[in-house]
Amino acid sequence: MSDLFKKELLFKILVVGDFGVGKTSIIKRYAEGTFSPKYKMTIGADFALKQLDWDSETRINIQLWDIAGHERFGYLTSVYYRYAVAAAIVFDLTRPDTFFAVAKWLADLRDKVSLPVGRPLPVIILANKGDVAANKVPPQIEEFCKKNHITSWYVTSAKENRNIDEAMNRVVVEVLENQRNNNLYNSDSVMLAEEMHTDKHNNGQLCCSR
Amino acid sequence: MVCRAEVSDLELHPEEGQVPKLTEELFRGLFNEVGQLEDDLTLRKYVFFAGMERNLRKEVWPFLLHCYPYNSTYDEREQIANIRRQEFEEITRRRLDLSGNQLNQFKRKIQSVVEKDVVRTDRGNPFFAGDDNPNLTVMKNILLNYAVYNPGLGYTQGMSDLLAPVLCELRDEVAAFWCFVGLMQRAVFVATPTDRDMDRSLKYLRELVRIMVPKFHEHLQNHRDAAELLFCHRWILLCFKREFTEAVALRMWEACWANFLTDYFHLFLCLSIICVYADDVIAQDLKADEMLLHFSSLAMYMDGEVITRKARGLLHQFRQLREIPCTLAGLCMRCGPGIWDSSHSPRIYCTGHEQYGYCPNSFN
Repeated sequence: MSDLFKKELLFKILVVGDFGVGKTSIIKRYAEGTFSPKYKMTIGADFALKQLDWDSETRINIQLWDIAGHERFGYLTSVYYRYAVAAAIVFDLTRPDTFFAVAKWLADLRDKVSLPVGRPLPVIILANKGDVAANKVPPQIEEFCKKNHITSWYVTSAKENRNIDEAMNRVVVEVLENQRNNNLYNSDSVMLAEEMHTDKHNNGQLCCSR
Repeated sequence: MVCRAEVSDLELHPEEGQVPKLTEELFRGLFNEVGQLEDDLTLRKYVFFAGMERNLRKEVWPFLLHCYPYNSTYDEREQIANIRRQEFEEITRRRLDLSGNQLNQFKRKIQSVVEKDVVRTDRGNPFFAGDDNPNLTVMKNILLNYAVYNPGLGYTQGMSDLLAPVLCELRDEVAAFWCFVGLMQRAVFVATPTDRDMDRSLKYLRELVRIMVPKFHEHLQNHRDAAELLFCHRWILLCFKREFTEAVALRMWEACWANFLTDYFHLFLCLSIICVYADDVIAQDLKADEMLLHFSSLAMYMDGEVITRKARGLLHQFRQLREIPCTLAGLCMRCGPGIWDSSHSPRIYCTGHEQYGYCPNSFN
């Protein structure tokens, strides 16, 4: 099937977590395939794009939103979170405090983002800096995930490009499942995705989704 | 399509190009025999229009950032400097005396963030480059002391970015600390990192866009969430530091600190960028997220000189308005001490608060 007839989806995925855990590094690694130890701290809103040819019929445009790790603006954070379909919460294996903050970030997400039909936002946890401290995975993580309906977590390394693609694929699967389960294909969330991205590709949209 | 940054003569402030840069000679000439700056308006005018020779910054910035009153004498400034030095030492002592629970809290909430940020702030600048650079320790101490000095604000990400150039230009820990205090106290400048200040800045900017760039305002109205102005949050939070090269950004900072004709020059700089690139955004019909991407791809590629000149022109245009909406009335009020060259007192009309029976923006 030629590209012209592919269904295009747009997923806004948030990357949150405490300051300095490597959110920007993960995003750059995933979207641009690069790593630098010298990223500046994120201030304000920023996102990177990644295009995935998911299957022969579907192209997924992922917007990875880099959310500043230092709590700053109550209201603005909810603007940054708006219309997200999933989130990755990152913590730093070398700093135990950042794992304890995962619960706080999860609560913030659950509080501010709700999907149509009230489903909870799909969330995964990334235990980053696995290149230096892979053996320091907090033992409570399994239980934490179970308790909070989080289906997966990964030890990642943006530096060594470990598990980032796998983790992001998992997020995409969860978003797709979530939408399928809820029979959401005709509802707001996907309409939003299409509306946000495809009005320049009206032909494709008419052919595929109607 | 790429918009070329241009500004026509008609759009310029009438005094554009006629005010000299502040030189050593001009600066010395402004003091009277006891060292008072009797005519600070002239000083601020030079800085606003043309900036200053770089080596003057360490002397001029402390005035602009209210460390020294303009009318202080040489002797008084020496006294102030001495007192400030003692105060700084006292703050350092208080910080080092923290213990028990307080120390734990401080380490967890402030120190850990500061330490993470200091090592990723302006490391490209030779002054902060290299491993174990002692200037990083100085930057860290200033930020930690600031959190002790002003526990209400503590430390927020972005502060290190604002401090670094000040420290680099002043090359003095104590002086940089007090300038930083002045910088953070500027009521409406970028630095007070609370919802309220940012919110107010964005509200004013939206209104300025509505009145002065109506076609762009219409574009914002046509796209969901576009009016949140996501693309300019960082401009305001870091005062354009990530959008322009440091030399250009610092010229903008000084122009803002000059408080000349307005206390809100940073908003006119935002407005100027918007004006220059509006046609491009409208022609491509960019949505909220696409605008964010568009403007962030312009970072470091915009002509800051043109933007600044145009911003002065826009400020002039604004001050020519015979009437302004009540939503912008606050923009014409002074936030700090000092005077502008002439007051701008337009008629203020109310934008539809009739149902309340009074205007919430009224200052009378």
